[in-house]
Amino acid sequence: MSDFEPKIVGFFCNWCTATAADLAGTTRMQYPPNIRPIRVMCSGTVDPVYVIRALLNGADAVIVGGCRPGDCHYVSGNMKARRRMAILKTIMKSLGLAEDRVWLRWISAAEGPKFAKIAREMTEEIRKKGPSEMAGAWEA
Amino acid sequence: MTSEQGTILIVGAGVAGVRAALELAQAGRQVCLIDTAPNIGGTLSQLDNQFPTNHCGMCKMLPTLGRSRVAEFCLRRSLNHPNITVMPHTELTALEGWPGAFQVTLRKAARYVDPARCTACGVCAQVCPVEIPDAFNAPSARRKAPSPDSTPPMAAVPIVPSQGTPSSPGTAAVALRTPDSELRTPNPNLRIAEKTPGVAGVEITRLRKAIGIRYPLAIPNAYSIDMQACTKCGACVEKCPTRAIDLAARESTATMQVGAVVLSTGFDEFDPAPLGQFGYGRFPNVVTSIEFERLLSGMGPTGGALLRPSDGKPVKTIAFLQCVGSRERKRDFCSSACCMYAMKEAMLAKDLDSTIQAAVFFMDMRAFGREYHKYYERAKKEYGVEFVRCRVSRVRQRASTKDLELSAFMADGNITKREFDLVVLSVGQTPSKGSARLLETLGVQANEWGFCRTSEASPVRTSREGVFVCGSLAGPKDIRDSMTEACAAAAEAASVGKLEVGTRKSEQVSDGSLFRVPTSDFQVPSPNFRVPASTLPKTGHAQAGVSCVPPPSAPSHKPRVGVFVCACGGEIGRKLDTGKLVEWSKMQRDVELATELGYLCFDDDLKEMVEAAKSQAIDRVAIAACVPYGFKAKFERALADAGVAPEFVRVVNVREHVAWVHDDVAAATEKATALVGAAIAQLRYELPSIPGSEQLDQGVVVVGGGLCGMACASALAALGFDVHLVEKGKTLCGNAADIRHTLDNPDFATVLNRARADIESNKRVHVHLESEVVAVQGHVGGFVSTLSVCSKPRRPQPEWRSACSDAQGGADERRVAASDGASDSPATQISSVPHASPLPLRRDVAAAPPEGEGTTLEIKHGALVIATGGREHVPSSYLFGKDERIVTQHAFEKMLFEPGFEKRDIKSVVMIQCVESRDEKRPYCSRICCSQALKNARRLRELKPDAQVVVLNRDLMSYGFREQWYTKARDNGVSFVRYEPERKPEVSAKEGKLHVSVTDPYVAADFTFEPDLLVLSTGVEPNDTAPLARALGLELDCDGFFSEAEVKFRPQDFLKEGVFVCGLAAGPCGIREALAQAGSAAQRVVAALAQGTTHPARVVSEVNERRCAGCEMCIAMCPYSARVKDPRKRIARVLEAQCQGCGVCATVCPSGATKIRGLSDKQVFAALDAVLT
Repeated sequence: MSDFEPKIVGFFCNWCTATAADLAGTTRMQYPPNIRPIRVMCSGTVDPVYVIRALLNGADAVIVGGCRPGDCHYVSGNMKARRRMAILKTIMKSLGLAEDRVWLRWISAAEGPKFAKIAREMTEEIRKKGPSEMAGAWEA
Repeated sequence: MTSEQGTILIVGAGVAGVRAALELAQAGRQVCLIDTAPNIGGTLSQLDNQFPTNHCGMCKMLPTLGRSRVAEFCLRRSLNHPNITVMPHTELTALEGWPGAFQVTLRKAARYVDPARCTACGVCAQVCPVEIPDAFNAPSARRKAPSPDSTPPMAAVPIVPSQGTPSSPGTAAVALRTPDSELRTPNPNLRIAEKTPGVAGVEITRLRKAIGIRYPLAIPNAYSIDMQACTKCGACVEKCPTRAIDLAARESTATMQVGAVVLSTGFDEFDPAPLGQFGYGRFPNVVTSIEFERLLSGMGPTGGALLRPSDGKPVKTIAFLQCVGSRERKRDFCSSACCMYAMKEAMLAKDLDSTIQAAVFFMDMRAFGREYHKYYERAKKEYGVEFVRCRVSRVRQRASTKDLELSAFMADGNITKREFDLVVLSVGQTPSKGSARLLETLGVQANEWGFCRTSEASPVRTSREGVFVCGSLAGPKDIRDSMTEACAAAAEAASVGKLEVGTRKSEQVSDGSLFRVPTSDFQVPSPNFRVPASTLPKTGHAQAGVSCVPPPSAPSHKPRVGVFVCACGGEIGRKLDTGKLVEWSKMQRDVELATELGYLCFDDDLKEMVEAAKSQAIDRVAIAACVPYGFKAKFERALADAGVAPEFVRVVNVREHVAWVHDDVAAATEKATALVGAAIAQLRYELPSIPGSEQLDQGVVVVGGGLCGMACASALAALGFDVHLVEKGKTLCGNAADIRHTLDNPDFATVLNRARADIESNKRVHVHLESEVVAVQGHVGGFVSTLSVCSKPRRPQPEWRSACSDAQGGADERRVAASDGASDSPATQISSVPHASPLPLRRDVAAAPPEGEGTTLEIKHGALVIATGGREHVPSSYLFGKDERIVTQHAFEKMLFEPGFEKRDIKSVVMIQCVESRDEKRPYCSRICCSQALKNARRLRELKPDAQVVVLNRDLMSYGFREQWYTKARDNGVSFVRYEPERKPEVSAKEGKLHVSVTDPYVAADFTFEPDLLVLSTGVEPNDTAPLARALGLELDCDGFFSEAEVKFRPQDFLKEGVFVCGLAAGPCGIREALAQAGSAAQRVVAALAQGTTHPARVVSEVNERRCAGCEMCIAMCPYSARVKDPRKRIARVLEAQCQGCGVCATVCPSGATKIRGLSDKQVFAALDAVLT
């Protein structure tokens, strides 16, 4: 399992986390290439369906990145995301799905190093867990 | 449209300058933003978090209207407005001419690195042999960029090769800080030259190369060379892949015509090195507040860990010393922001590690204003920050541990000594270096401390007409007040341009008038701000302005996507297989063209891209390049020539997200392919923007005819808007009518009367006295307000007559031109609707306007300004109302100006501050009462030099330049006695005498006074504005003041577009601040309406009408009031003008009727499929 390279989908908010990713890039912080970022306007737009769809379509994990609580460009979108992800995880857990493959992290625009650190941590963690069993369960 | 009005020059690109530039640009003016530094952002770029939110919040400064032009990325990253020309490294050297037709001379320092060619790849910094301290993270070395003329000849600069291995980013290296005297030396190189082991004063400093960038993602994102350190070895020139470096570059001068100048050169931190007692510069663990800010930053020298500069150990105890460089004899002013930022830094430190102990040593905790007192309480109670009231006399260092020992005179008179790991000096603000010369060059007066001189009645005007000032250059202040002033200065600068449209030549007008009221010579209406009556929206109900035109649908033909990969001269090309990426792209569905180019940011390659797109009839473009901040706008503009609309251009950041962060070429290529695939997939489902065609109504309603409302109306009228000033009372002026004098102006009443006369004669301002706004419907650019009118409107009699006579046919609704001032092209329409009973409309009496009670007026307008003001709180404690010798400050002021006061038998007066204020019931500071007490004490002492005045206070809030009046009052014999909120003064009346007893905790003594008069400073409370707030759908805070959109960056705005607030309605403020806020609110109106039509909407919600069940969940969730119910169709609609595209409504919509145009589910799913295959 050591050569398993997880595929992680990242939904990053335009204002904070996507900017932190740019900042990590500008300062050339190395992190594993497993996260595939998709820029959304706000973490509050991330519909649970996006997450489920990603997992069913072959993602080994999903990370949603937003502004720190209280700092949302759209006032409280990240708080809505938090609630939504909590519900999603509860449902996933009760269905016996690996809810720990869904991460929600607050990374502000100035936190390039934190972005790189989380990317490393997450890749490592998911690598340990192995491939997701939800992947390809589309037909089931 | 703009050139004839003249460009506006903004000098200094800090937060105030940027704000003023954005405001003017939004209003359609051309702006030239210059700064001597290589990058814009000023001090703000060093601050990660702001009080009182403890968050960044910078993105909230962005314009919310027309955001697709500028607001795609936060302002820390880009500033792309097409109307703004940013000129870094530029200095203003001469100003000639007159307002409206200035000729300025700009000196552009030699740009050794051409920003147009620099790709910020960093190759030059790798080869540069010279290291200098990183001035961004060690601000002791940071002073404004050296002015071009002070650059010494290169031969004189000592050559200092770098020592050891170059420091890698993120690691801390040790550099030397020189002894005190050399801290301000302009040659940072010396610090390296003296790098000898064993010298005291070593600090953690990340070194950088002589060629470098101030901070990552600086704007403009280009490198610059510190020429004082540069050895001109030429290594960078050789290596630069784009040949952007020219060491022989020379400075140049340019002249340009501008209409007005706004100065916003800001402040420098006070240099504490000369104050030997704090040991700054000698003791490594004594840092300034900005240095501490960088220590806290994740991008700072320690990577966000709070480590001691001396030994790198974690910090456990921190002392903050307040008033360093403020409130002393030589600098007798308060820097206004330091108390707040010290609290912020203490809290942020405790956020990092809750075991850290932080103590703030202060004299007065100046957390003045609405939110700030709560912040103080939060620091004390929630965070456990210790507050010690004393001034620290000395800091000593233990030689062995480098711990610091403070000696402090405690309140009880003893000297205590305490040890701390780190001491942070809360350094005050001082005018920025070079501002003295700038003011002198411009012939603008400075005050005794070097700040620009302004007057209370015109807070943003300088002594030279046409030159305005904002931000800390006009006096120390925080970001919120700088924001307000920046907008106000923008409004004033814009009205100079307006005057220029007329026949004005150089004539100085400085009659001391409070407001600028254009005389008839200048009444040439600008075509910008007028909307033909025929194009005004005719709707008058809840659905006003809801677009009923179907939004444009996607082109019916098959998409033709072009993929362009920028190699960035190998920066991308080397780290990933671009050839493979191009080949892969060619195989994708809908891709007609895929090609690789060398440098897409260069005009040649850009042209090639456009030509290629043209030749293949490409209509959608995916570009794989670098951070899209700077270049996306450029690409969009260029591709528009090839017929590709801006919304069909997507930039994938394969440099910062892939090439620079991944070593493995194969994996990096795979990721890049996935990202480009996602962009292609998203482009496939992209829809065109909704064009902005809806006309914006140009009328404005100002609610509240107090000082602020009048000033705002006056400013708006000067900018060419028609204003309805709605006042509840019978007269204008509100509270200001009771003000006889202020600290800065002993004869305020005369000025105010003149201002009132001015506004009453202003043809563009229609005053509605004894009227109230009872209902407001619609949205920005299309509001309909209903006024309940008790008396006739002052001006429009002729039209009223005709309207009333015309209406005899029984029509319920009559539309009339609002005023004679606007009769040529009425921007505002009024309809009068009989309220209780139909109006008697007999032809013979129709000449009389409708009057009396029970009439309502409907006014169509584009924006609304709330200036409903506040009032003095009426206390119930301290026997108020039970003894006539106990009065409030307002009453006392009135008494002081009564004839015969000198003869009254008043020998002693006690004033109690913070009466029923700053407590649990009213947890805010009213900001003005301390100044009231000072001015009234001064007046009393003038009238009765023998009278004894005692001011019982908790913290004396004489912020800014008011501090000098506090000093003068003390010198003049006014006594100030402290009391603790836990032990309030006690007042009793015995044997016909008043007794006031108080315990001063700092001298540990009880005092009893027997005053002839007891004056209570009760502070401000808002007027009852709940009905108005309900009518507008706005929130009030727990104290009844209006809650602004963002406390720091949007002080005049609400989340609901088109509604603004100023003055006491938004929180306590003094005259100066109120007038600045009035100007600011006026400018916010201009920015919202000046465009004339709504902006095109790119990322915006839209509703599938057939799916919408009308459940209103979206309406409940939308923070911007951008969703409304269509009562006829029973579905929810989108107000595109107000929608910010956050997508919350789309996510909550249970039936999937709402989707985000530009980021629909379809696009996300397509992107998901693309990244996972």
